[in-house]
Amino acid sequence: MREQQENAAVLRVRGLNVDYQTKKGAAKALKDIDFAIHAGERVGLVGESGCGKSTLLKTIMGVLPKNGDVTSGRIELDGVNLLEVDDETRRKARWAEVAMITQSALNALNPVRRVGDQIIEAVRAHRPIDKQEANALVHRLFEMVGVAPERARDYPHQFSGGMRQRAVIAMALALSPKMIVADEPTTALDVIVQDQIFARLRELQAENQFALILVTHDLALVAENCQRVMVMYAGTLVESGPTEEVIAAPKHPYTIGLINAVSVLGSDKQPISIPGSPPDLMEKIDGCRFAQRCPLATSICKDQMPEAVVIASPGGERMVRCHHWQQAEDFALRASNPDVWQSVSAV
Amino acid sequence: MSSFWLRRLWHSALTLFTMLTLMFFMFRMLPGDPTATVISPALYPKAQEALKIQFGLDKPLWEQYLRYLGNLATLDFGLSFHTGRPVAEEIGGRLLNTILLVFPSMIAAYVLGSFVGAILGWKRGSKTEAILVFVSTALQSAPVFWLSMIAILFFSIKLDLFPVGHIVTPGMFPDEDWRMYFSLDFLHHLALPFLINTIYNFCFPFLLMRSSILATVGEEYIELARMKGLTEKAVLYRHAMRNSLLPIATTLPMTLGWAVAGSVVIETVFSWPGLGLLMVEAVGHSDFPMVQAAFLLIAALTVAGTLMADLLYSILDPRIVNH
Ligand SMILES: Nc1ncnc2c1ncn2[C@@H]1O[C@H](COP(=O)(O)OP(=O)(O)OP(=O)(O)O)[C@@H](O)[C@H]1O
Ligand SMILES: [Mg+2]
Repeated sequence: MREQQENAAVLRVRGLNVDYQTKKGAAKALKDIDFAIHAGERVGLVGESGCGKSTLLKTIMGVLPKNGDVTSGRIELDGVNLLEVDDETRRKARWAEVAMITQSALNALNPVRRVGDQIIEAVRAHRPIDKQEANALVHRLFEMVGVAPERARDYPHQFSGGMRQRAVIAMALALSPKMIVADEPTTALDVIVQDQIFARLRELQAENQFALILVTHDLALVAENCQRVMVMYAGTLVESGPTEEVIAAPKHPYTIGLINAVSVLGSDKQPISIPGSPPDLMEKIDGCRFAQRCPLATSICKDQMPEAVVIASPGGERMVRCHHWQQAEDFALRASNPDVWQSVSAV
Repeated sequence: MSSFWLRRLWHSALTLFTMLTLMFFMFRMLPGDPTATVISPALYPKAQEALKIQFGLDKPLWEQYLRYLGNLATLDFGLSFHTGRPVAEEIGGRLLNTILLVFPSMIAAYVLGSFVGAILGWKRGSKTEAILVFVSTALQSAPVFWLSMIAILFFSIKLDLFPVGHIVTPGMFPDEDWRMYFSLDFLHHLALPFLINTIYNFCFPFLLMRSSILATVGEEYIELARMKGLTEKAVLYRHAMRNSLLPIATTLPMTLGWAVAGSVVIETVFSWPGLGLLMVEAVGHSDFPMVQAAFLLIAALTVAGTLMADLLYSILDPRIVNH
């Protein structure tokens, strides 16, 4: 079973490091990222603001801003390292293989061009398509995402936020990619529209079997939509595994803190947030990046970056990067007490 | 036509009408007697009276004003005080000369400025970019006549590449008819003022397009365009430049009227027999009907340009809803 999964990896990222060059020096935005996404799998990527989620997706798409550098690593799409291929091959892989639903569909569509034309443009960049076929395709895509097809001739400003998001999803589906990465696709929308869009996205995923990486702050959204979850902290992946297992029995203190920070409707459990803030990415950190805020931290944590530990589990396998992951179960019981966290930042 | 455009047309007409009216009264409030050049004070008072009646100057002001409007409506600008020929005829030929000098060079400047600005802004940080930005900023604040004189000194006098002035070699086309516009001699005369005008007008669209592109580079729709797998060229031309074109395409028609008025300087330096030079001559001769007609023409061009800019904007930017 495991062997089979290995083979079916659509995307495999190995030892990925990304720096942003700034006036004050290099900011380490991604550090030693390793993971694989399998065909047809839905994976959530969570972590607090600024931890590098968008940077990771942009690196996969190959659209890092000019000051962003991949210093080492591989991004393999069906075994081909995208970081080594020539520009033209790289260009052709975009959208046809991996499409992206961006953080804000509000600004992702060009305001002065018709929505339908912008979708066709994506197709035309990869294969010739005549007008009739193009219209039929847009018609079908709009029906798929639940927007009236005749609206394809509208401009983005004539769409509501939800419709724009749907249009961007339609665009992502246009070339039937193997994988879609979605960067907080619904943060700007209200909960009802968000639910509708996710329901549609899940159906489409079931029909078209693309792999999905869903980036969000919202653990509940991951619990509802993703089989697997990856937790990111300050540019490193600290934990990953089957969503249910990770939420039920987190193994990294940061994951525990993240789950604690979620308020549960109808429960009198008070959400508590992790005191302090992520480290400055310019700073050179030898040890665990979470050590400054971690109640379990000891001297080894400050000196040495923990290795990724892979643990076999019923739902597949789990990964955790923590020197003290074996204490996690015990710590999880104490973690709902705010004082446990406070004492760290006081040190 | 939508009610927006009807209203917009009405506003333009109103603006033009206000200009006409202001101009009528302003010319009559000027110190000195504008008719003194035609009706010589040395004439017998009786003869002066007769002439005044002939020009209608004995009538009350409001009646003169109504006649003025009536004449304008039939495009009758009166007779030149200086040549005695109809003003409309005199201006027609001169306007053509100015248009031939100004419009092509404005269009060349805007097309060139937009592309160079877009490409350099897109690449950001090249040496060419730094140099051109410096030169353009400097040129923009340099007077045109200074630029023109340097060009004449260097290209015409020192290198003897171009004629020093005029529209054709004097005496070559005695009738100055349409044939001269199709001669190489005309192009030879046009080259230098055209070049100067183009260089001078290049700066604004170049700087505007460059800064506009710089502001566009980080936009999410640019990133998406790139993620869609468009070539870098397509991202630049179809998205970045398409959107940055808005402010430039709309300033072009607006500046046309202004450019015609601005041709005074370049036409004077190059002795180019256009509207600008005509105005200078007319002022020198106190040829009021001529000056008035030239001013009106420029005002009309400016109003029409503004209207065209609005029209262009509404075509280029679908977000402008016209109602
Ligand atoms: N162009 C850039 N130059 C320098 N630093 C950058 C740049 N873009 C992002 N960063 C920094 O890199 C880090 C990761 O940013 P990123 O946008 O990937 O975070 P994120 O996890 O997507 O956050 P959010 O949840 O707020 O979207 C942040 O600290 C950010 O300040
Ligand atoms: Mg982000």
